[in-house]
Amino acid sequence: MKEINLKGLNETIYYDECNNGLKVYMWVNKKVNSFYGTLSVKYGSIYNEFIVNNHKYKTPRGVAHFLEHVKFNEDKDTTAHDFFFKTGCDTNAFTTFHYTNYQVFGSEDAPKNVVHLLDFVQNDYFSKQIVNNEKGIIIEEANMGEDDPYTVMLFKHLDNIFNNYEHKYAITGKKDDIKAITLEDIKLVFNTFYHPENMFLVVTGNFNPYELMEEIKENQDNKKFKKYKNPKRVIKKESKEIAKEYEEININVTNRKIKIGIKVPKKTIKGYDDLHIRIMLQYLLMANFGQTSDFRDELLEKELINDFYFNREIFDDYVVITFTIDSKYKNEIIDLFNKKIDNLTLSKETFERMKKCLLASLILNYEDVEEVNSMIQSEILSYGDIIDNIKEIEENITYEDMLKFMKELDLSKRSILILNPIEEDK
Amino acid sequence: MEYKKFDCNSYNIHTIKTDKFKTVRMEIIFSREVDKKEMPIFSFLSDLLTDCSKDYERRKDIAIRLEELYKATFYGTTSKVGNLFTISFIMDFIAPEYIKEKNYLENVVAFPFTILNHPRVKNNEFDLTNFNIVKRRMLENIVSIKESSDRYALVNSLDAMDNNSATAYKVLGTKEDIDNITPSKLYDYYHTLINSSNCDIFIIGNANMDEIANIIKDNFKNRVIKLKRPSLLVNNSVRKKPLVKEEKSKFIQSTLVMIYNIKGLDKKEKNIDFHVFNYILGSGGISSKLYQKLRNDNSLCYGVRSMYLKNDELLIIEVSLDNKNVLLAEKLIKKCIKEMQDGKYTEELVEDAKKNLIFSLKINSDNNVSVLSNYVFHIFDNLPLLEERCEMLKQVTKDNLIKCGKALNLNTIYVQKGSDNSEGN
Repeated sequence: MKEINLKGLNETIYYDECNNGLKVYMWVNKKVNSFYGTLSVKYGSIYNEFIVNNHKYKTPRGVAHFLEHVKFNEDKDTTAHDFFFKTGCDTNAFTTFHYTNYQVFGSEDAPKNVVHLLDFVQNDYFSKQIVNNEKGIIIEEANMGEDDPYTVMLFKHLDNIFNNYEHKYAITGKKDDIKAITLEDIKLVFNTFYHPENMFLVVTGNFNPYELMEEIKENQDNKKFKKYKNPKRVIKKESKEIAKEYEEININVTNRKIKIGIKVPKKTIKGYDDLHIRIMLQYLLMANFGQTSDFRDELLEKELINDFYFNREIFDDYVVITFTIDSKYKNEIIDLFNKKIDNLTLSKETFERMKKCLLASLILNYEDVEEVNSMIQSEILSYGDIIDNIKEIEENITYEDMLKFMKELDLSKRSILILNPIEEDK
Repeated sequence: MEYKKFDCNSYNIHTIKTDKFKTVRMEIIFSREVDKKEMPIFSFLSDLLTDCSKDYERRKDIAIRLEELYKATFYGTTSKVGNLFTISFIMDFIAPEYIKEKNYLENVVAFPFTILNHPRVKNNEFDLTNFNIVKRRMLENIVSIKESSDRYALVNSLDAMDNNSATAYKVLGTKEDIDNITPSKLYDYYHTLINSSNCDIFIIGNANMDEIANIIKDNFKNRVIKLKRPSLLVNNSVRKKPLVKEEKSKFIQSTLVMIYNIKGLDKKEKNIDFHVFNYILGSGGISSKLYQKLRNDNSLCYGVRSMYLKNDELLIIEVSLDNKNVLLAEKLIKKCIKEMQDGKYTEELVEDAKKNLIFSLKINSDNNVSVLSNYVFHIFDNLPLLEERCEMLKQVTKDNLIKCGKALNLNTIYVQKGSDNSEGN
């Protein structure tokens, strides 16, 4: 077992790997009562086309999410919920664009429960009846998404940003996609992607990492897996152009919302890895649009907005920056945001104050067992490994680095989505 | 964890010292009896008071100061639990052991009182710019409930049950309530808040609690009145025949809400037994009766909620589904309740539910907000502390649960009808 010491943070991540390729990351906190185990499969909603041994497979959209639902069935009459109900644990799962995550959360006997997490996810029991029964449930879940204006807004926004990327489609799939999913589709993706080499386990909380690892290794050594097929996701070519630059739709919101999306090709900011892009963009956005920015304050004082928020996310070869603004005044707002985006600033004083917050953020990151678990997952998925010198990396970013980064950013490709309350439809 | 109480005449400081958390949380809680007219005004006030002050004229200035205090957070919030209304000001900050800066603890603890003691007021009224910013935010929060099918259905179902009940009162009020608030009226209520409300300050975390209490005493003075704490209980009346109401909506899914009165249970049955009952019925997730019947056996829905409002003596079951399945769902919910009343479940299930609830309480003790909240209701309503509740849960029997079932009376069946353009399953 390897101990990864996080420099400057006084925290340790235990790391080990099973013979079948399953990677295990553990963070121990002896002061808490609980443990949280997550098994992540690097297979999400954007994998509906993939290649194995030069053969291209295409499955209906929504299969990853559908598989997540039916995966809890251990045989005809038993589900993983039955087991965890007996042991006093909570279990759940979710599917994102990039991965599927299965969880167990409890307060006693971490080894027994984590091993069962592995057992039910790696179990290959599926049946036609289970697939058919689940369709109604998933259709209702998709309907819930269609009733939620913020979910509709998100996918409409991504649809306008991307021409070809799969990220523009709902993770659940649409009703017709869900209806089209078959038992064969489920078996195909399970046999292709649900391999220990394509999974990783993260356990955080109060447990003995050596005892846990021994149980995990024994469990994995007793299972037989076929050779990993090493599937490759088909990534469609995506042009730097915005799919739709302007659109207005009527939706169940009570106040008008404006979404401004900026599509930044990563190749235009060469020399920066994904980690630096995320950190530096966050500084820049916080300084210009955050709670301490003059811009936000002025918009509030002039009564042009109720509020707004922003985020930045990396989608394969592109970075997407999104502003979601609650405002009646679409023309003024679009104009003001465009001007601000064209004239980003950063004072040394603001930058130094934000760096002061850094210390607190990094310390507080290691407090809650669920949050630590998610953070580890995120690092593995985004960077392939634990970043053991994050404090050093952040401390080493200078004001001059930030000014250089700002100059190189191409923020010219923008998409505007206006969401009007349905009443305006009349 | 070490609990200590500091009696400061017109308010109390309750400290819970523990090295379990890296964050220290301080909640300044003003409490009053629920009053339909007052709640929106105090909600407005709690937002405005944390948006600006005499020394920090804009939210931006407060945000900068909080960043200087190592990314502390400070906000105001209001909530209603039964007949108790609370106006809370919450400060979360990193424990002093991690910060070397001189006077850090004093600066960070004093900060909320600097804000509360010195509002941004001129000529006996709040500054209009800040007032308008908060007003717009309040109005947006009030109307945005219509964007969420389940929240909207829940609010409307309680209105249908009895809009004169404190359970149905809205903490934020209505658009008209907000329009009637003026900067000067709000300043009058500021005095009511500070001088005529009960006040308790709770702190949890790893810090020198004696020092914190002294800092608070130095910064929070001149309060004069101490009132009797109101009872939390809301007496919702029972119907001989359930009210049935259906309303159209623009959502795709329909939402069915069934409200049951719970009458005749004693304190222990309400604090402990009914939680086990509800766990088996519906709050216990996918293994519960409601999930089994509605989701697993009949594929009617994605999820079903079973909410126990202890102080309102209500059980509320809510499910979103295709309109054509509403009647079947209603029938199945009634069937589940009947089975619970008749004790149609095994002793083993009861033991498993108890075990699960005990584990949940143990997990709650890993969260500073949950631990603090438990102490708040221990002080306000004699709710047993987490460890005691675990012991009490172990004693619950199937007979106790049957008694809980017998205490239920169906009050309201409310349907928020979907647009019906779904093709169904």
